[in-house]
Amino acid sequence: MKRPPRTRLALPAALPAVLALAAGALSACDSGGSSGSGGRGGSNGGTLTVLYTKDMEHLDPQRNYVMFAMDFGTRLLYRTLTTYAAASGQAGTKVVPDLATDTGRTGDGGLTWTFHLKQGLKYEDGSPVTSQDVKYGVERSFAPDLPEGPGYARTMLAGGDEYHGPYKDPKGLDSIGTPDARTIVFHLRRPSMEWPQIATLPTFAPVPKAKDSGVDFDKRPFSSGPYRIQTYDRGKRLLLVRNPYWSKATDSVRQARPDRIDVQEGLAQATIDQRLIADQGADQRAITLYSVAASSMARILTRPDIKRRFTSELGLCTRFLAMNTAKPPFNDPRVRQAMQYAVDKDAYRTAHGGSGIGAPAGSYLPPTLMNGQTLDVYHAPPKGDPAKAEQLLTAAGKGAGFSINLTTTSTEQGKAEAEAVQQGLARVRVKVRINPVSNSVYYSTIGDVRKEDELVFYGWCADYPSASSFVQPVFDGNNITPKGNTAVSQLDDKVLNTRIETAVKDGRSADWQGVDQALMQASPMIPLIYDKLPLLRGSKVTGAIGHPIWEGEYDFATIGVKS
Amino acid sequence: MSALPLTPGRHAAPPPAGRSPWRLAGARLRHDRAALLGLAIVALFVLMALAAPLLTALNGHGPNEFHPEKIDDALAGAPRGSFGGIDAHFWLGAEPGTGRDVFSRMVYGARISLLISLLATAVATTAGTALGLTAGFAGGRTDLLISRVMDLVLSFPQLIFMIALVSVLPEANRTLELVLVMGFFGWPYIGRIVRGQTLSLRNREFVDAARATGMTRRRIVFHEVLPNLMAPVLVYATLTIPVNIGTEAALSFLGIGVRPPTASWGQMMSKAIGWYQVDPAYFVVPGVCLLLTVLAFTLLGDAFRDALDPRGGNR
Repeated sequence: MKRPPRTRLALPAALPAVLALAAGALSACDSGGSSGSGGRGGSNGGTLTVLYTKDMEHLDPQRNYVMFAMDFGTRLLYRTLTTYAAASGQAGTKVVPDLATDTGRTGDGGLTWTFHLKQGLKYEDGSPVTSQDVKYGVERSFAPDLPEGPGYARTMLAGGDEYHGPYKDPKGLDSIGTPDARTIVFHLRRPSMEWPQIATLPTFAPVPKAKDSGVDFDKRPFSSGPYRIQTYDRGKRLLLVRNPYWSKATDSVRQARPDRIDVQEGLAQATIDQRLIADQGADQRAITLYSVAASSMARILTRPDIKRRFTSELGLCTRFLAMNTAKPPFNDPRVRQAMQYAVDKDAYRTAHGGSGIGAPAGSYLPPTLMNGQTLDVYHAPPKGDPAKAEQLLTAAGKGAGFSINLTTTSTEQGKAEAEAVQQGLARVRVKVRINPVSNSVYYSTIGDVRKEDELVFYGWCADYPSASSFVQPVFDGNNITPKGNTAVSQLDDKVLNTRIETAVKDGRSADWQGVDQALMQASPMIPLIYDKLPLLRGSKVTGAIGHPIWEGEYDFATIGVKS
Repeated sequence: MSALPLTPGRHAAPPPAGRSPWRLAGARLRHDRAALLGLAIVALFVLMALAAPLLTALNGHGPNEFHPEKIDDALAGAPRGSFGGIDAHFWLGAEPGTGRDVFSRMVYGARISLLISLLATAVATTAGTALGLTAGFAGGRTDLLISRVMDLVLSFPQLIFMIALVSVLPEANRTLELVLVMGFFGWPYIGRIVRGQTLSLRNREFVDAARATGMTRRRIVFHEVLPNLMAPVLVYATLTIPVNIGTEAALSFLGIGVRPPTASWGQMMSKAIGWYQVDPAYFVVPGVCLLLTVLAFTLLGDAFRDALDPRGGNR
């Protein structure tokens, strides 16, 4: 299940934080101390202002594959068969029914999945949501014109490889059955117990055929959620108002508190941070849509009144320093293991935004994927253990050190992070030459297997809370491709590949812990931090919790404003 | 040279006669306070750059040493202590995010900033003088060709082309690349001035006289024309240095300067931008250094012009 680069970590993300992060200390109470989080007592009404630097890449449900936009879309504009509970921490990774009455039933070990729709589901014009609309929505994700969305439906549904979307094949995809208007049946190519989680993706949002405007649907998705689009001036402003036909009786997740949601786009992040720190007028009911700037962190964290409005929640993401195992010196596992001790993760994290934006990582899988458990395989202190590293390097015949290149982004932060790694490795006579490349070509540069440097910064977020969507694209040697490679360490070990594929089939979390351990021993990458998303809100925003599924983004199901 | 030996003046009055124009200029400079101030600042920075390893030995902090104890990890690495962490060991504070010694980075940054701007000026001056002289003296098609090339280079939007050029050049020696790229965009300015001067000198009586005596062309160029060009070239070169210091800082600021972790003032400014509200002291250091060097070279250049160019001079 390879996924497009979209859900990789946004590299320039920076920042800060607050929680003292003992690894694994994540719990549902870590949410940013917001009043009434998750509770139902919050006030309704008012306008929530959402500040953002750019335009949403896609709002069309079948094309939406950016973490925070998936949160925004599925919580506000469209409903999916299943979704995640509105809670922070581990509780937020629980799959709950949304359009469907339950989280899906299978009678044959995961090959066929049946969902029944709730009664009384309506679109923004009052027409009923039918299972045919869900089928049509999923079929749209096969259209070559709309390629950006997640690829799970395309790779997992039977006959998916020969289907090219409803515009070319109006007959539809036979492996999605709709015996009646409220029942939908999926026939998979191979059994998978993860289908209920996959059905949370916006791919599974209903689209009535009559309302489908193809690529233009992006500008005006037809709402099945609690809000509908009133005006959308791309790059400037998106205004959502209530969908009068949405009924809370059919929806156990979304609280839909504000009357209007006003997204202001095209602002500089520094301006957004400044407005939220100042907390004046309408900005008291505003939030930033994405990470605050690293440079704003100190201003936020040093003032208790502002710090109270700050949230930094763990997502399903880990940042790595990947070693290119196809090139010397990292083709030698002993050298790679020595690097686990040589790197100064503390200095890296400070450059990345400080102790609040991430927990030091001891293994690849983030604790949110492992029921809160973390693994520390090498027991290297956060500053590294140069003596131990040197000993291992000497044993590998590299005691005299060596010179390597490190690819980073050409932003100030990218360079600062690279310098942190550079000074850490200099302690064991490893000379690092920093190779800064522009953000826009970063992933294509490190994804070119022949040109890839010895060391590259990398990061990955799971698409849904299952280790398979994390480990397979990054560590399975069968996923190495000459260009656009996601397995950037290029480690192709038959035994490990088989272990990963077995774990994908069985899907037990104990297996994944074993895989994580075995991978750490092979040491294709150095885990740096488990990522947190630093967010700031105005003083009159309520129910602001960071949701682990979407990188720690505010959960739009619970957020509201006080008058 | 055409200076006529005058009989020594009877009054102890200003025009100190009997000296070459260079000595005259030197005397004028010695009485110009702005020039002396500029010279002192320049000398200070040059000394500081040359003595960088000695100065950092005094405080004991290399320019690339991380000092995590000087910064607050919970605050994204904001320096501990007031004024950016200034204390007895960190004379100008610690760099946010890393804890590197700002003083050490400042003196090593002076090396890079001065080296690049001086070398780039040398490249531009040499190339500009050689080509301007050739164009002015040869005339005809050579002049036409060189002048058109100068127009062409001048018509490029410089900073944008520098960014593009430096980005596409293979990653070899960044310092050398910056010198060459800045030199390439700088030579036509000086080239045009030299060409214009050469054109007017070419037909002056002393050149005609030299020609009449059967002097070789080569000798005329190097012994008659070139010495008369030195004054404008010197003035222009001195005024180009601050421009190049600014350009180097701008390129570093835009992220295409020297490769990290090498320190340069522009790179320090660039890093300081994100921190100015939290740690203004860090912004002040490279800012003041840039201000002082640019000011010093500009004062010096202006003083040279006043001293050497009697027509434009006001003193």
